[in-house]
Amino acid sequence: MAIQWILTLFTVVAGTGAWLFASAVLSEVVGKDSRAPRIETIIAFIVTVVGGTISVLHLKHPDRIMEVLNHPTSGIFIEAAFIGVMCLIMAVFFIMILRNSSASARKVVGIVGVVVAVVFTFECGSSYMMEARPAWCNYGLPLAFMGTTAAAGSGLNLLVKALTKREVEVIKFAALMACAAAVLGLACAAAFVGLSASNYQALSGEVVAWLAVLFVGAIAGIAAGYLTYRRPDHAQVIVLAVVVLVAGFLAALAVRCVMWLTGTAAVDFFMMPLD
Amino acid sequence: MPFMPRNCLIVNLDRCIGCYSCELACKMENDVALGERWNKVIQIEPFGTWPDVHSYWLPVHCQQCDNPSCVHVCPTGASYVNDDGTVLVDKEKCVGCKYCMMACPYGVRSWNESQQVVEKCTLCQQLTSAGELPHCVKNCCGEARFYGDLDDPDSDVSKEIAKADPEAVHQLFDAGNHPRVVYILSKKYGEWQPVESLEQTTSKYMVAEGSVK
Repeated sequence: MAIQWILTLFTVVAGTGAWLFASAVLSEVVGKDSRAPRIETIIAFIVTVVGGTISVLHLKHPDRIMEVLNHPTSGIFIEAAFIGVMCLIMAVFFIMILRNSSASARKVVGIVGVVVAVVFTFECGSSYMMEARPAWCNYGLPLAFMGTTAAAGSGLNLLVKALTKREVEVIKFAALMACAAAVLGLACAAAFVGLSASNYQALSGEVVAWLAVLFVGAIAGIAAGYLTYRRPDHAQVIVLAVVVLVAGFLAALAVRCVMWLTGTAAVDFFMMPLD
Repeated sequence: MPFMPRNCLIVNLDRCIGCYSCELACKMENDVALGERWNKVIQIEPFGTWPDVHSYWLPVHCQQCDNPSCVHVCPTGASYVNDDGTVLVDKEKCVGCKYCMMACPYGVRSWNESQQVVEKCTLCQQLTSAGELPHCVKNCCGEARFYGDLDDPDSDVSKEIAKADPEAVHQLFDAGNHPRVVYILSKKYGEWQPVESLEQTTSKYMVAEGSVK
């Protein structure tokens, strides 16, 4: 089936925002960054809201959106609810920074945000696990959604820290996290491709191209993250951080494009286009 | 739990002559636009080895599943099961996300381009709720289509299934959705071909492995 670009961008952008927040919180929680992640939280909030707003563009009748209250167990409702919860946590976290609330209380809120980021990005993928689409119906899919947005979000965290000229140790840890997240993204994406490949009807040139983008992007993210980790004081650290972010973002886009292109229905009698 | 009928269509393929009357009747009765359909007749192209060659027609439409995937994924409750057990779409609640179209294992939901909502076979609720038969059933030249409650032994569908050889009773594959629709095809008219093993060559034709080229 055709790539659904709006749905693709929605999960990548919103997931990147969620994981930016999670990465920034983790830096502080493990004691590698003594400064409260103020700028990171603002950017994460904006990126997550933009991602959520993109999803509305997919609807033909956004005016009927409140009807979702009729079916609160559907995947779409759960995704929307997680975006709301994610943004609420970020807002509370930011207010706690402004009010100089206790560090341990803020850590608790931040850790809840990390958990919600993991579950939200996993849920975005699990909504597509449908028996009707055999190539989608395996747990590699939600793991790939989660892992690749973790790579993009932690790449953005590294870039923010590089742009704000943070201390070498802070950048070094952010690079380590970005590198680890890129490895996670690569492993999860490989698991998804491996588990679903037997259900591919045909390996078109377009699928091969996106698979190439996926794996080249993931490996480039790992390499650039590792280089930054080894040389956090490098003169071109911003360029390296941009490479980590772009590579992670492209890999996240690519795994979703592969999903759409290989999501052939078990049987499609009416052959109605979905775009 | 309240009693809920399991209304559906069944099609006796032994009697189906591939005239497309059901498709046309459905379009006329429900005002289905060109390029859109709630019911479609597919030809399973000739297969087998001469002289034992068979071909049959397979009318496809909503399978009125007992565990409908489309209802589970619908974010607004627009896809729902009504009091008589029929899977329907409340178009005023449909946001047009098309998740139900992705989730249907048979691809038998239709997109209404002018209204920007999903539609499907309603078992002609406007007729059946008044005690009449669905239009495709009324207009079937071969009297191959039947409507009724699978759980009612006196319904037309139950009687037709009871008359058939158990080996001639088939259903589309079950992806956990439990389709209700039954197809009757006796071996003397053709060997039932599981649709998931067929290749859809064009909009109207499917071929089995070893089809006569």
